[in-house]
Amino acid sequence: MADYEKIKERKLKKKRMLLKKTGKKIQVMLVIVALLLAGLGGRIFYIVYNRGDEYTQSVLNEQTQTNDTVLAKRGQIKTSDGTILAYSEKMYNVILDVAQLLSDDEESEDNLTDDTITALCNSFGLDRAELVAKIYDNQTSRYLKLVKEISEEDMESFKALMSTTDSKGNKVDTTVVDVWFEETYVRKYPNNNLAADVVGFYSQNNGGELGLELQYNDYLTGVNGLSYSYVNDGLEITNTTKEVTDGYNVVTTIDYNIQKIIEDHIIAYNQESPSKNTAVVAMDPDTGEILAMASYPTFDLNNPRDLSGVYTEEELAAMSDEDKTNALYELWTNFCVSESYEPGSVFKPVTEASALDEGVVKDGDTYNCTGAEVVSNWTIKCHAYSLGGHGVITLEQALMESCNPYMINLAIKLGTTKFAQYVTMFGFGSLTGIDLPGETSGITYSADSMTVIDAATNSFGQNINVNMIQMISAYCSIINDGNYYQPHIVKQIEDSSGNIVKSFDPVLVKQTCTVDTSKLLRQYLLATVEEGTAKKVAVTGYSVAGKTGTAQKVNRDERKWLISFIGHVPADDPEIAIYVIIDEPDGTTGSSGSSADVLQLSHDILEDLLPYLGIYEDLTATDVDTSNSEDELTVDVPDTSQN
Amino acid sequence: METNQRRQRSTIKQNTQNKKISKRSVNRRAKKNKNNYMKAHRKKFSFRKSLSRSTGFYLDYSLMLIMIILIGIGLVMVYSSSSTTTDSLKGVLKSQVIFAVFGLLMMMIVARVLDYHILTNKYVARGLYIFSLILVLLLLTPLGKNYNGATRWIVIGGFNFMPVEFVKVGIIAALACRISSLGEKMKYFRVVVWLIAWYGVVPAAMLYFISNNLSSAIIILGMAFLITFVAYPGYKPYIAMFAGATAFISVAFSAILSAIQKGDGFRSTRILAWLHPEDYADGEAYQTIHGLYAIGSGGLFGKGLGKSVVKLKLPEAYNDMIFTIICEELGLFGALCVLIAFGVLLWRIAHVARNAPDMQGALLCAGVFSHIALQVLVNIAVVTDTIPNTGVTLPFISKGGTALLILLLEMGVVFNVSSQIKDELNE
Repeated sequence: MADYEKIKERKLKKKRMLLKKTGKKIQVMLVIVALLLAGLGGRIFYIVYNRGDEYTQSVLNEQTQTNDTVLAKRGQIKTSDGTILAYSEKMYNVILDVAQLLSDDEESEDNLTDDTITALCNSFGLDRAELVAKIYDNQTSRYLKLVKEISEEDMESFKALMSTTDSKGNKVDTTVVDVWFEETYVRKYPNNNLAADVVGFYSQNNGGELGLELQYNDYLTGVNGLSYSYVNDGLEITNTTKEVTDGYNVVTTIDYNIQKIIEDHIIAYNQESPSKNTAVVAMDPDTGEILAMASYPTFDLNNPRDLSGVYTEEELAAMSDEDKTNALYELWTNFCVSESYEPGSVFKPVTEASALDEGVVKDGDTYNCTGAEVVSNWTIKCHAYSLGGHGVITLEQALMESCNPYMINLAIKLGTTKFAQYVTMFGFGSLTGIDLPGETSGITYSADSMTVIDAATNSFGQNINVNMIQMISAYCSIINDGNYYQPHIVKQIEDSSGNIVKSFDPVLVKQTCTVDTSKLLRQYLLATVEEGTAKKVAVTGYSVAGKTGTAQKVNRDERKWLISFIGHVPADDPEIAIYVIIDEPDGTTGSSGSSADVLQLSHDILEDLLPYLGIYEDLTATDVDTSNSEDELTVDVPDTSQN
Repeated sequence: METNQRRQRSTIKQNTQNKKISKRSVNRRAKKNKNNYMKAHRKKFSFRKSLSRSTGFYLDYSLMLIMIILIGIGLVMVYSSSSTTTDSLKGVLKSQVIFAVFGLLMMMIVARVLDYHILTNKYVARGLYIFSLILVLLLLTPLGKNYNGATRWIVIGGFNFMPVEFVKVGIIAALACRISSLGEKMKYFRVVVWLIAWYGVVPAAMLYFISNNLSSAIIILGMAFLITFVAYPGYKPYIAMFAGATAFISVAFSAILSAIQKGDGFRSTRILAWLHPEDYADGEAYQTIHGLYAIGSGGLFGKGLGKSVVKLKLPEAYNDMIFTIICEELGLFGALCVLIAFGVLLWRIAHVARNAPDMQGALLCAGVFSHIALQVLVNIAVVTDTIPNTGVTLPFISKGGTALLILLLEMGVVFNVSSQIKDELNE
């Protein structure tokens, strides 16, 4: 019995020993864990003290979060008489939340996917097989754009499929689910081609891409509204909406009817005899407002990337992508602003005005035109070269008959420095600052680099590159007592409810010539239309004044021409100035190029335009007899530019 | 007295009347009586030892207090970090409160009514362990619910729970039973290796491969490691194992670093996101970086209870990332308080374990200790970006019904052990 107890005692002792050892180990484990906890405490301390500021900043940066954007409506572009050239319409994109649909379907007893697909196909005419494939490919997508730009009615009718009302009048979801509609604005151009180069177009990705859409993009865009959600002092998530500001409307100086009349005539002319470019600018000399700006070829603003209006299908098929891109850029180029060219004889009023102002010539001074003039060993012919020259003519006759030697004589009398200064003063060689993108400054000689032969050819508008706005602005200043107004095409900017935000009043930039000079030139220009080379422009009952131009284009041996007419009505108190250019008219190669086409076009335009403008018929004169009128003949210009 | 005498008399009368009294039958009867008495006594003892105490039920009040504090902090923080969601009060907080109350009741039952020796009964312990492994296997059946790419939940009749938590109980019970029955054989290290293999590696591997749950596998392996460490009489093999693991990790780490520097295609975004959380702020390290934002922006005393901003950005901030919200709202001060509370809790559990009446009790407490300690350490190390991201909840504080219930049951066992500590005077 004693042995048994002893054994029991020993066993118990051993057990106690083991327990004691275990207790010790537990203590060791506790110490290790405590040390690790302390280490982690130190780590937290480190984060708070070393990175605290940085992380606090990050939290603040994240604190405001923008949830929803309320799209701003892009402003309209209107003509001065209120015709809308461009506007935005609210439409809807159909978005399917595929991931949600599939997970909803899994939880529901109904066949949601199938019903939704059926509804989508029926409502929007989608191909079922295609749609199923699309959904299969984008199973995790939460944003699958199915249909673009549907109208509000279509959206409402689809929404009606998505919910019904039960007997108690509560709205209940149907089996068509997880489709939502994304608001979007679509830009529309109700007048398609009208003033396409001026208005320009807009794309979702790049905003305004051309013309006024680009130039006034900031005004047109507006400010999107935002739904902020942030945490307020009371620690609730607060949603605040920043109101959306719709874009401003841009009111142009363009008159819808003038623009329309001009474009119709341009198209009518080009259908008969297509030209490379035909461009017309009409301007109010008293304000510098552009009343119309049109060019050909043109494009449909609603479909600006469509070349089919200009090229045939075979031509398009033969073009590479690069060719197409270049063709598009060429098409989109606004000839009136972005192209520079040699103006030809329409530049002559500038030369005469300069000479008169400088006093190197006075009214009635004569010069003997022998048909050609030799300057620095270059023989420069007159238009009347084949007729043996104009003979002794006055300053007025020089303009009427478009005499080159007289102009050369004036330029030489002025001297290169003075002549170059006048050219610069009339605004050539620098940007006019018209509010359209992509204006070119043209190419002129500076006072230092101009040689005598340069002055001689410049005097009748060759070897000098100008853009149409420069030319018509200079012309307007000459006929408007020397007042050079800032040319501009936007009259005012209104907010979406029609209040004027900003208006662009006429800005008198400078005085280019004296009142007397202006008066003389108005008289000469009237005579040019009544009795000179521009007889064909004359409109019965109106005192039309102006000057023709036939310029030989560079690469003289190709013998290509740019014919033009610049003029104004009424002759003594101009209300409108018009500048018409036909670049490479049909069949003007060789010596046949004449200003006949452009004179006829100008006449046609003015005949329709003047009654509309309400200009008084100030001439009681009978019809101008244009049967024996002589067109300005083309003249070969020597290539003097190689120095 | 009267009746006794009469009965005695009648008995004698009967005996004398019927037959001769044999000595053997008297002995047999006496033995039977004795057995009956002992049986009655044994039953009484084994059902509830402490009932025999005249002083009543003993409870470790400091342990109880600190645990209640932690649960309280947990409820407040779960409410705070879920307050931005729509069903904060009725969904998240309500279920957590129900589980806490139910869990506390269950804990008291475990602590008072049962005896912890039931758990270490050979059949019960093995049964629990095998049952928990079967639950893990159930994840393979349609009962397993896939959530965020990992199958961790079992849904039975609208009630869902995580088998992982049962495995933790299973290995605590199984190891406590096994080790105490092994007794002195624990001094052989190969026995320890077998134990870790059977009760650590096997369930960890099952969890990793079946439910793609690396974090729980790590916790389970760690628990097996710690429990055997406590039971093994020496230190050397553990120091060697620890040194080996440290060496392996540092070699692997330097290899990864050099691979990254060389620009070799090291593709483990988990590691990269750990090293440079800023670079992966929108993807892999979104949680980590926002947790760091929360810790860093809390400052010394925090933004105030309920004023966290980061919780708006953290989906389910009341789960693994809840400690960062504590840091943000209560600051460094609050975070250290919580750490100290865990420290005190663990100290009290260790105290119970050290003073447990026998090996089983000590090992059960050590198991609970290792469970809580590992989860706290791993969770806080993860949220402070000290180790790569792995999802482990913070005991008592993170939301999670099953986890809280199991923890409270484990605490019930600890209280049960503590109530059976012999007074030092009795020793």
